[in-house]
This record gives sequence, structure tokens and C-alpha cells, in this order.
Amino acid sequence: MSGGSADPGPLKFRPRAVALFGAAGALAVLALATHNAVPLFLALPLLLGPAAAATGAPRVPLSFRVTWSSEGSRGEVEITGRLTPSAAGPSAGVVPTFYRPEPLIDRAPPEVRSEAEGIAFRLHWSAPYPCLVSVARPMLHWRDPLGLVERPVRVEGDALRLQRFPPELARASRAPLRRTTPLPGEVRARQLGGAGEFFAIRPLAPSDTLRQVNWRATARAGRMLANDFRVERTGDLLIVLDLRPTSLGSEIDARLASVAAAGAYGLAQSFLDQKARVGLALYTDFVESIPLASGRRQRYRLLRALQAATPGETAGPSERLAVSLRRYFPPGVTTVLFSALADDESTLVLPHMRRRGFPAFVLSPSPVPLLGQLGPRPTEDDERALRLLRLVRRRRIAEAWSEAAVVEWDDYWSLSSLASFFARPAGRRAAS
Amino acid sequence: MNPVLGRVFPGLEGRSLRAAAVVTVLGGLVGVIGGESVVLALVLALAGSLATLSLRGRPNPLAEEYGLLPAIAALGALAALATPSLLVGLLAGVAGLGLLLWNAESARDTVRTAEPVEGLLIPGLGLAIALLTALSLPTASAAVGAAAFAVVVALALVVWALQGALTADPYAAKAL
Repeated sequence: MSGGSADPGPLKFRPRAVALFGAAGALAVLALATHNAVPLFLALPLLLGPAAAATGAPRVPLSFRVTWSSEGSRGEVEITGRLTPSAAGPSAGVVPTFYRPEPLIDRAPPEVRSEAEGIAFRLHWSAPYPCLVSVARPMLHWRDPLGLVERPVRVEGDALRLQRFPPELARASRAPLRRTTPLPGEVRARQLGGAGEFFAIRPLAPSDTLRQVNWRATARAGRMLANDFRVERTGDLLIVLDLRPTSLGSEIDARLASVAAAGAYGLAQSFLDQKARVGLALYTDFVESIPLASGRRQRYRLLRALQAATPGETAGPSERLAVSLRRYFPPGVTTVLFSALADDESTLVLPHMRRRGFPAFVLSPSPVPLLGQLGPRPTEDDERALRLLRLVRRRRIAEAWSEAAVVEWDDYWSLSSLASFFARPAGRRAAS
Repeated sequence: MNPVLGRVFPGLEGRSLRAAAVVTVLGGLVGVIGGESVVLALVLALAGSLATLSLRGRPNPLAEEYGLLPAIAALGALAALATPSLLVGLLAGVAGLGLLLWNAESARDTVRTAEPVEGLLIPGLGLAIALLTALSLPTASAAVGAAAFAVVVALALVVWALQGALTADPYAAKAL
């Protein structure tokens, strides 16, 4: 028997059906106690409704496949998808329930439409700050027309991964990286540029320099042609996330960790696209590391690790991070530290890392936007406290600059400060 | 994670308000025709419906699931106080069907599974049988009540069996 043996799932009475049964029973008792048949007439539909609802349940197991994708820029998350029945059986009466992961919030009510081919839906969410989240598959239930009984419906398909980070991170890979392998040219980068090994000839673009013009080819062709060069392998990048608890509290720490993880993934993705090797170290009280590697698998390893990155409960000493990094990664690798620099202890990590061979470049998500979310009518004290917070943060960053280059990340949806930092010669030197 | 979607935010939407109005009017009629004072009938019916509306309008799934109980309690009190007659019984039965329809209206569900009226077929038939029994058969007979109950159960079983035959699994038996 191919289909008959399949279990369609348990039929469950919803709490409202149980309430109806109970109320009908009470009415029957009332009728008997008062010797009055009228409550019985009232009770009869309430007793029969749930029983009749159970008779309409589908006898074959229902199964749906979800196909969905996400769109939107910055904090906007638009998820569109369709639930299509993957097996024979009635699809009427199937109701979806969607799970919204933290920290996403509802922007507008969802649009769910029953169509001939299945159920089409569109979810309008927004991300208050950069984040990496997985949206679980929706749950489906078959329900009777009166909404009294339900039966679970199987859903096939993958969870939806959402990554929201500033778009400027995609251009961060132009920064030069240090090489830590003896044969750096073994794997070539995909990036084409104005220097490196000759790759091809192409028409001259307005952005090209005179040095790129291929004069001989230009003379032969009678039009301006330029050389393209394939940039050599870019090098290695180590991303360190300082996830130690701070005095800001666990909630703000968790949000900052989310911002840092999203930024770290954007940065890693950008360099992995250029075939650079990228490693990761997450530090709470001990270091959790992913060794330097490149390729698609490394991208998924990093994504999984960063999605699971949460602030620790106990803070390890700053020196332990530097000592542990030395065990897992070669010294001299280009290091980017994601740290909120929320307290003095977090700035102490910089000299330790420098002494152990990891002079870091700091990308610091600012806690001020999270702390400074004032109500609709901020008081004078609130505004004064916010000004003080900004002053304290400015002083701490100035102190950190004595040890490493620091880019403050205070607008979570823009990293133009990072782009302009890399564009400056001093920034390029700091990165390399 | 919050299971919030697949639903819209609750409110006093039109279908619920219409169902509330129908149940209130029927409850009031049960009281008035049943010989109660007009004020008492209207106040009880209105209070029950308002309590249910306010409960089901709250953004609390539990309140929505059990929100119909005040309306049922109010109608039950009116029915218990009413003087029995066939018209009052009919009104009470129709009010019960109205309660079922009101219960089916969920402001939070974005997808209406099917027309709720479809689900009223068996309860409506059961009510019709009960009313016909009360009208045409001699009263004060316990055997008649038991027989009517047996008929309703048999009817439900027949419908269930027919449903099974109509929506039987599409796979052919091995012998065929």
C-alpha cells in the first residue's frame, strides 16, 4: 500500500472547540436542573459543531513545499514566497503560521493569498540593526471551516538565511592584505586592476590611468586600448570578535554582537570573493577559532559560527586573547578587531595583540545609537546623558587610536567611514 | 522567535461585529419571547456580546480562544429563564448556530480556510431534527429524546463515511 499507510498526523481539537464542548455540557446540565428544554436547543449546535468539524478532515497526509526569497535594502526585509502542495490531496483549509526571528520586527501585516496553485505570501519585516538570522520554515495546519479542529501539515524546503549589513563592506576587499604563506601567488585573485600580471586588452575607460594605456595596441587598432592586470593573491585576513560582557548590560551586548557578527560576515564575504583566506576568532572567556581558509565551505563555516555568536557570561583577560591567537593563527596576518570599545578593558586588548604579532585595525560598532533610543519626548536629562555618553566614547576612541587605527561605526546601515578610511593613504597603510 | 505571522493584528472587524449583532438580537428575542423583562433580556444579551467582543479583540491568543464563553453564559442564562416553547427553542437553536459562526471568525487569521457556513450543515440538520421531533412527537417521553440523539449520531456517522468515500486516498488497492 503506497499511500494508505502514511499517517496524516494527529487531529487536534483547538481550545475553542473544547470550550464549546464544555459550555454545551454545562447548558445540558442547566436544562436538566431547571427542567427546561430551551438551553438544550442552544447546546445542540455547540455539541454537534466540533464533532461535525472532525468529519471533514482530509484522510491523506498533506505535504507542501516552501519556496521563498528575501529582498530589500538596508533594514528593509521583504520576504516573498509560495507554498505549493507537493502531493495529491486537498489544499483548501490550510493555514500558515510564520515565525519571525529576533531582532526583526513587523513593519506591516503580512499578505497571505490562497491561490489555485497553493498559498502565496509576502512578509514585511524590518531589521533595526545589521544581523544574520535564519527564518524557520512556516508551520502549516489544516483547519475545518469553523476553525475548531486542526491537523499538522508537513512542510518541505529550506530555512531562509537573511544577512543584513552595510553595502560598503562589499568594497572593503580593495584594502591590501598581508600574506602569511611562502607561495602567495599559488592562488590568483579574481580581481582585475592596474598592476600585477598581464591579463587582457580592453577599450580604454575614463577611469584608467595613462600607465594602463597599451600604446602599441592603440596604434594598431586605431582606438584607445588599455591593459588589464590580474591582481596577485590578496592575502590573509583574521577577523576577531570581542564578545566579552560589558557594563552596558546583556541586552545591549547582544545587539552589539549581532551588529559585529553581521559586519564580520560582510567583510569575510567580500574578501572570500577575492580568494583571500579568512579566519575567525570569537572571544568570550576563551577563544573559539576557525582557521584561515578560503572557498565556499569556509563561507558557510564562518556564517554558522557568526550566526551562533553571542556575548559570553564571563569575560576572559585581555592577554589570553592575544596568547590564544598566537596558537591558532600565524603572526603578522592582517587583523580586524570588532569591538564596541565599551569599557577600558576592551581597549587593553590592543597592546597585547600588537605585542603578540597581531597589530589590529578596529571596527567599532558604537553602543550610543542603542543607548540613545530616547522616547517620543526625551527629557533634558536624557539629552544631557546622551551628550555625556558621546563624550566618553570619543575619549575612549582617542585613547584606542594610540594603539591601533579605529573606525567608528555609529550609523549601522552605512560604513562610508570605513570606505573613506581605506581610500586615504594612511588608512591603506593601517590596514596593511 | 515569535509566532506572529500568518495573522494580522486583532481588531473589531466587520464579520465579528455582524456575528455579535445577530447573536445579541437572537438572545434578546429569546428573553423577550420567553417572557422575561425586555430590559433584563437586552442587558444580558448586550453584556455577554460586549464582553466577548472585548475579549476577542485583545491581542492575546488565549482570550481569543475562550472569548466566546461570556456570550454563551449570557445566552444560557436567558435560555434557562425563558418559558419553553417551540419558537423560543428555535430562536435558541439559531442563536447556537450564530455562536458557532462567531467562533469561526478569527480576526487574526489572514487566510479564511473556507466559508464557515459550510461547517453548519451537520449542526443545522441536528437542530432541525430536534425541532421536528419536539414539534411532531408526544412530549415527556425520554425514549423520544434518546431516539433523536441516536438519529443525530447516526447522521454524523453517515456524513463522516460519505466524506471518507468522497475524499478517499487516490491510490489504488493492490488487488486492482
